[in-house]
Amino acid sequence: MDFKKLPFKNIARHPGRSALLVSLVAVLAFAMLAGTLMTASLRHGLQSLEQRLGADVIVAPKTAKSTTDLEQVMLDGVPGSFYMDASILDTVAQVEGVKQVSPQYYLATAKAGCCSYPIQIIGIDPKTDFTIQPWIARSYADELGLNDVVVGCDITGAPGTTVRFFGVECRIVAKLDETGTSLDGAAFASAETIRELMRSAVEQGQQTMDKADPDKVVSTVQIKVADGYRASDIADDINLHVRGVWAVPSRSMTSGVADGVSGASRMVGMLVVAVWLLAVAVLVAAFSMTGRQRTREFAVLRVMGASRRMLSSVVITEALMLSVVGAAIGILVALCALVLFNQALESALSLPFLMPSGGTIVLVSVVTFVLSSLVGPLTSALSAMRLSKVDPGQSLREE
Amino acid sequence: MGDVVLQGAGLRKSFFRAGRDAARRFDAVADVSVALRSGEMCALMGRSGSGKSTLLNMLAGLLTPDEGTVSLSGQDLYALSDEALSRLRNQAIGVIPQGHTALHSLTVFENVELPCHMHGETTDVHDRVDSLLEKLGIAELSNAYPSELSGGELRRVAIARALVVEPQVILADEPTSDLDDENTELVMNALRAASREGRAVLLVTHEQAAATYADRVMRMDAGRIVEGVEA
Repeated sequence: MDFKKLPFKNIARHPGRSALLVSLVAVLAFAMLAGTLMTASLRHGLQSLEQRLGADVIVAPKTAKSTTDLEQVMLDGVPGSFYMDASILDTVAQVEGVKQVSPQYYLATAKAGCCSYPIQIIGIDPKTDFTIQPWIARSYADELGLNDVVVGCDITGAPGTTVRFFGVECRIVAKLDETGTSLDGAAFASAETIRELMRSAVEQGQQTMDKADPDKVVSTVQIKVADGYRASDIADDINLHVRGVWAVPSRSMTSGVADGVSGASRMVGMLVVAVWLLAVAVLVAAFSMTGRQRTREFAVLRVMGASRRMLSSVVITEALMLSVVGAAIGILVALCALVLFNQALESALSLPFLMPSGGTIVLVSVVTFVLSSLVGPLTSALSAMRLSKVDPGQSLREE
Repeated sequence: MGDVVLQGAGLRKSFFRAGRDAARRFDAVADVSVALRSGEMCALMGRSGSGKSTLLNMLAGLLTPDEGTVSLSGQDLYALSDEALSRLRNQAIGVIPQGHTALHSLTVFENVELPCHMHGETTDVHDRVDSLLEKLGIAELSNAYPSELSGGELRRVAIARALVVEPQVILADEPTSDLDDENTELVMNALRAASREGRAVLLVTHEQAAATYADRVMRMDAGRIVEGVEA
């Protein structure tokens, strides 16, 4: 039997010990990968949400009452409809420091052909929109025609198929990339289309539109602030001088979400560090204990003529093999869990949750694999060094 | 008797009992010189704690003496690097430690053949192991694991493992303790045969019966050899 096969034999003949060490490394790898990807997904989700909101200031009717209504619609994806006079658009555009304005129209469906739950339809003006359009352009380069809709990735229905809203047959022209936000469950249409839907909703008695003319209302005005102006100052100015509306800097709207993301990330980070510290401590103890239990075995190998270097190589090879298997299992389980429970996590956290790119996942997995695979061999190397300093005769004498 | 193969000169080894103060220090081996010749079977006797095993370990290159030298065919063991000493021990010194020392992950056959593969030797190993297992009466246990063996069988595995590299010197520490008469005779005959083949054999024992197989008997007391040192 080749001496190099000894580590394999040791692993195979001690299945309990081997399984324990593999499990510990697997826990370590799982915690590191799952924790890191969760934190990255939360941050990515927040980033995505901020990009999607796009505007510096959002103006909504006072009937939206509080930030909660607006935030529920904008951030949480709760379908809602509120309207104000379309003339607000021109009024707001005159405010000093406002660089660009664009209207948005919200219409909540009670139940659509495509979905078994209410969804939000958002209308945009393709000529002036600077928030949704760049995002839509990544999936659909043409202009949105009458009764064309672009749907978020969570909406059932493939491009080319139709969906019925308030009795109007709409053509799905594209499906958007995942954002990890509530917008994944929304549909987007041109102002022209959404006005038709509004009229149809009123006719069918599913919307009252507060008795307003669908052609003369908007839901929000999205504002881009000119260079040298602060969004909060512009919002204050509008709140002070424009009646019946309520302006809010979008950053202040997402600050709650950012706080949530930051808190959740911190909690996950602390949990990962705690699990790592615990697992590393247990691994160090387990490998050291294994080393101590094997003092006589190592002394016998020295008696037979194994050098310190050979002894270390046996111990380190064993630890490396167990660690590599453990790390691979931990990473595999973590990736499967994240893929399977991605949606559940998003719902449970109530925060934007968007998995990082494939490249980032591979990179984090590789780093996790390397780090997790090294803990065992490093611990074992220390244990082997300590053991090799003792004369084998002394080890045999102490037994 | 042949030439001196293994020689210990002025060997001294001290240990500490619990605590590190000088009063608790005791000399396990004190200024001992000993020589082993090829073809000679020598028994080292003495009470427990007299320093026999400590001396054997120093002669085997397993325990660094505080003072003195150990030389094998003129080569100072403790002047060698760990790598060189390990190789020398593997090729020239067969050690049978006290107690059961088989590796539990390996079969009887693998336990016995392992020393042959530590530093690259591979010729005739299979035949040599088969022959040794046959001689020691454990050939049928070749594929068994140590946990399935009796104490006597384990001791015979240790002897086969020490003999397999055909060393110049065999150092056996209490090879017959806890063995019945039949096993004792088997083990002693194997060691005796090894010495007749020209190997120097040192047998540490406190059993008078085992000592009767030896060409020379040395006695140790309180870390010193008090009887049987070669003139």
